[in-house]
Amino acid sequence: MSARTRIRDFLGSGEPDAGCGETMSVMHVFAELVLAGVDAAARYPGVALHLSRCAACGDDYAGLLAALRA
Amino acid sequence: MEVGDRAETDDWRRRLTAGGSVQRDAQEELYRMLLRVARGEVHRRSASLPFAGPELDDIAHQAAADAVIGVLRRLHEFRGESRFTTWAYTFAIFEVSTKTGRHFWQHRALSLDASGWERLPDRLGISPEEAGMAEELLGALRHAIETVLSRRQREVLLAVVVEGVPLEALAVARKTSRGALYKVLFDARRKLRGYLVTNHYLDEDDPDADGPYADREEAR
Repeated sequence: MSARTRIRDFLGSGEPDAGCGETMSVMHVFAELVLAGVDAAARYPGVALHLSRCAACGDDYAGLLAALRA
Repeated sequence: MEVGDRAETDDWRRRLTAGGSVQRDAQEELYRMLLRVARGEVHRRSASLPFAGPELDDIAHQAAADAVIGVLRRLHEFRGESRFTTWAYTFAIFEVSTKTGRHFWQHRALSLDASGWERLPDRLGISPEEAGMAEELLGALRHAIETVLSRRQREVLLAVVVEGVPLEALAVARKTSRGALYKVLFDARRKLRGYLVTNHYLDEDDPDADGPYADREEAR
């Protein structure tokens, strides 16, 4: 991957990002949709984008999925 | 949500608001459930934490206790869009996240040395060879960081992206929320992208559709 691609990825494309507050408030719904095989990203695109870009929320989400799968 | 899950959720609601011994027993059951989740979560995160052993279990206990308080305080807001237990789990997960962020500073000091910017390419996964081939672009990025970002944006970017400070830990140090800091990063990246596109270092191949997030104040 070139430096240009990495910088572009880092800066993002400006797509709608739900932010931490909204993501945390629907994370339980999002996680259940994912585990049920529903396309959660289609229903919550801003949340899906945020989970991919915010390490803190992404880590919480990974923890929630792990707890639900335990 | 399945019918059985809905019945279980209704049962939790009923028992947690019943009063007397029924409510106390339900709270105790909730605590045990969230302690199990919190322990699993601190274990899952343990490899990336600067502490171990009894401190981890202390965090799990504190997280579970505070998660129970949070669940009870916000029970009236729960709209049944998921199982009750899934919703309750998030409180334990978020509490572990916050508490590990608080403990982060017991083992590390915040360094905001501007010379750290030299490590930016490496932190973005750019090899020395790739950096050598993109000197002009990287120079423009550094120039943009110095000239278009506010001091606060530079500091948050340096701490999170270069120094690798977890957002939750930085939120504790700055007495703010994770969401507010993420917004600072989001705005900083947007300004840097704007500079690089305006000055033809990058192409504008995506619409700048920041949407409702752009002007919203994030708080947790």
